[in-house]
Amino acid sequence: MSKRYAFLLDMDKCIGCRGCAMACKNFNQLDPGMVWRQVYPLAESIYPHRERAFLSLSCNHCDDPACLRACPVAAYEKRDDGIVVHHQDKCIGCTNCVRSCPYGAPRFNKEEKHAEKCSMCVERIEAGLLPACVQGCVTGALQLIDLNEFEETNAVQYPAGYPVMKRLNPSTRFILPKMPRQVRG
Amino acid sequence: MNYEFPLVIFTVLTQFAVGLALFAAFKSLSCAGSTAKECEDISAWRSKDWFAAFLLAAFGLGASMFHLAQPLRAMEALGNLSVSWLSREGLIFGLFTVLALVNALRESRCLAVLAALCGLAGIVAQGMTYAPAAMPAVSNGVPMLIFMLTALALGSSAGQVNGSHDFSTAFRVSSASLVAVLLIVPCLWTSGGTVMQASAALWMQSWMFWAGLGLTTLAFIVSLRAGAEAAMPCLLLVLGGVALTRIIVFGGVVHTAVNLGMPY
Repeated sequence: MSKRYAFLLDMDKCIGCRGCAMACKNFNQLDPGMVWRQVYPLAESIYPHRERAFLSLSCNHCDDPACLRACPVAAYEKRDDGIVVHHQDKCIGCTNCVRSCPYGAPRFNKEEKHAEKCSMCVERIEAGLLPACVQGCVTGALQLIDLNEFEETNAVQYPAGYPVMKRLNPSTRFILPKMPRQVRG
Repeated sequence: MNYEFPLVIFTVLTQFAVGLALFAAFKSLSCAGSTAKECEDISAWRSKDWFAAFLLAAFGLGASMFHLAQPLRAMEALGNLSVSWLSREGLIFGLFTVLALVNALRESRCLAVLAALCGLAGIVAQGMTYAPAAMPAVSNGVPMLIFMLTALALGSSAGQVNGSHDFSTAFRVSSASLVAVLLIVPCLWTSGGTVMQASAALWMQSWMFWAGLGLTTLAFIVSLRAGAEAAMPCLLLVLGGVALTRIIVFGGVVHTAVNLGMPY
């Protein structure tokens, strides 16, 4: 059976240090202002506790990617291992993928005049290494999993603060943060 | 707010062209029982309608290229016809433009109907292209409905400018429907999720939205008072109204990604 690579974010372990986003930016040599992974704090209305909780998000490598369906030049490729790769040389900068992705994964690079996004560090995976963000996570909150063998029953696909898009079937999974008794004052 | 002016110009002009083509094809078919002399006179006007449709569609397609970061590679946008509605939209409107030109040079009923059907297919493709999953407020049939009513309102008002036909009833029905849809849709969004409510607020708070509705309503009133005689003022008013509301249709719809980490 082929693999379906995905990110697993343990929100209970994530401390919002943004090390994952920095590791991504460093490894991929992103232009100033460009980010492929971003850490979003959960709003107080979702997580009303003294401790904070975070969503670390990049491309979700959806089963039926909206970006791939929107792209008029077939710059997106869905690989057999589930990774959605964007070929920047094919992109003509129509930004239709940016409009179409509910998770804001493709970003438009004004300097280079094309869209770009996380490719799950596919070249590192092929070399037997972990994606840069997973490697850079200091608490082990961000992990690489194979969804076809993933059996964590605690994990959810759609936590609060993350759009539910059943048709796209995003591959990222989340372990929710614990609910402490002390409410933020 | 990102106003997306090239897309505003592209969609309004191509829909104007489709509307003109629909009413020109209607004139062509309705000429069947008339005398040869009458048909000849009307045919000369129809030829101008088709030429106007060609110019509008060609100019609209040209404007759409300015939406691309790399406009010189625009032809590559036809490369993913199997899945991308944007590719299909480009191909269909390219074909429509050619058919409009052919009709302007040598019209036939068969070609006129073909061009009108191609225009309708273009509106469907446009409706699908601008209904992305990431924008729940318009990820439905609303864009297609607005685009269709726009084509009918612009086409019916322009189709009667030369005085050969009276489409004032069609104009009043389509312009009133357009105003009704543009008013009802944001009202419905206010009972939706957070992102839809934010889109409704952007529309309701925009002066361009209300000015656009005002101009379209004024065109309806002028048509009610003066009928087909006021075809040109009606056309200019509704064109201004459609352009203003279209800026909000593109710029005033909230993307789900702006609310990541917050309630939906």
